[in-house]
Amino acid sequence: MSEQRVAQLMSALDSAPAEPDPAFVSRLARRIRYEATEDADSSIAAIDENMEEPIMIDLEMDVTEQHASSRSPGRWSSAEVMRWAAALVLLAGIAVAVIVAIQDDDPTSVASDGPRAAVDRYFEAFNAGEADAVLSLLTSDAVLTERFGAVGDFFEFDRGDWEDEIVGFTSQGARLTPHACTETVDPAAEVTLFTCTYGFRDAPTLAVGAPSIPVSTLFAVTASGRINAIQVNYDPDESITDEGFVHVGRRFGRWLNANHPDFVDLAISDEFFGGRNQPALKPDRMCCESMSPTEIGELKLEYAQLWAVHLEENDCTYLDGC
Amino acid sequence: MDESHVSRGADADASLDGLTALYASQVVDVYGFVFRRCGGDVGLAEDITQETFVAAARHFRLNADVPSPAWLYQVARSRLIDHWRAEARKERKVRLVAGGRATQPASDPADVIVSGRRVVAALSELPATQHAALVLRYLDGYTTKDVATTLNRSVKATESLLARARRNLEAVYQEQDGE
Repeated sequence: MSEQRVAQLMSALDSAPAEPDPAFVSRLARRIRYEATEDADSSIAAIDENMEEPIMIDLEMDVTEQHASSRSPGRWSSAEVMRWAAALVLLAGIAVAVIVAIQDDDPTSVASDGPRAAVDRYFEAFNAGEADAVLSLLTSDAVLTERFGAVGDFFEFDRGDWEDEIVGFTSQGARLTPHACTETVDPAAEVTLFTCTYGFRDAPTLAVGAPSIPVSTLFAVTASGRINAIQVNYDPDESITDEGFVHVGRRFGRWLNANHPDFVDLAISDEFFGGRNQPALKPDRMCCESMSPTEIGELKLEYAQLWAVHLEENDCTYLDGC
Repeated sequence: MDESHVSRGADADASLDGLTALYASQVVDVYGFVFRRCGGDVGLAEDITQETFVAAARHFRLNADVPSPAWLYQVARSRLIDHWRAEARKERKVRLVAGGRATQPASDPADVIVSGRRVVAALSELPATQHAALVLRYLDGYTTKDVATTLNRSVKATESLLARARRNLEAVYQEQDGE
């Protein structure tokens, strides 16, 4: 769709009828008057109309019963009830905020078994497909970088892009197979560093039973047990050959082109998945993060399922060269 | 009107009249502004309209100043952006749970009567981030860079997002044409 066409369509929005409900306008008018003047009576009338009846009745009964010894129920106005309710909500909010603050500073809150537990949980949550759990292990200012191959710069992700990538991987059922982690304490940075080697397999790789991609990743874990830096190095020894990954290389690109042509321009980077020239292509690949990596994950899953069916129908294995 | 309000005096009354006049003159337009941008969701349009005018009333109470119409639209737009961001997070979770694309609410054929309504309905079919990008870019005149900043994305990522949003808008719009 051209820019002009979109502009034409969007400008048509002005002609769409959009009349508010008169009852809503009237109700809101009373609410505005209250908010501007602290006129409790007119506010309560407005709130009464907006609130669900059972909640209002229960709330009034609870508060009046609790204070029956000193005040008769009849003396409690709606305004007083609402003030009490607001105070209770405020106190509850403060309590929650305090608990959250305490948990945030509590070294045992995330990794009660030490910094290593955070790394272990990262793998566990990733393999369980729990993107939120993975992301909850990271500090809010975590620095996240990755590189393909033995040389070249590590490219830094912003948090949103990294979250998208984790969501994309977990949604397609990608798996990490940990091999080993070595620990180094960095007193200057007040973090514990773990260099972990593991194998990474995305959905197509799992479906065809192809070898995993070797990865070496550096995790920096704070004293509070949260991860504040992850440096992922895919194929650090450059051992991957394109031949071993034909199921995700140009073949995936051709499949995309045939079945989902709309996605090709956004997902084309995956055509070079596992290639030695990844670092040079990385800037282009960054363009695709926003296509919704979940959708990339879904495409890969669809592609992987077709591969699995193909292998089963032909009673063969990918590695045997069927 | 209670005694405390009366004690504010004639000036306060005059200002309050100003706020009341602002409400009377703008409530329909602010509602329409939100309604057309949020895909015709009446509940959401009412919520954001209410939040906008409540914010205006509190501004008036704290500053003894009646905000301008432009101020209202800025607040409404901010609330919409907050909503889109929240929806984007929800969509992501839905997709994780469902293992597929998030289901989209079906549009009511009765809404597809005139062009404007069709665009409103088509927008409601798009994922929140695409919806937001189109509105900000083509309705509110944001630059791609501004859209990227608002949606917390890189410029490159936003260009891709807009490209997909344009394609999807056309596709959904054409589907309605065939119904």
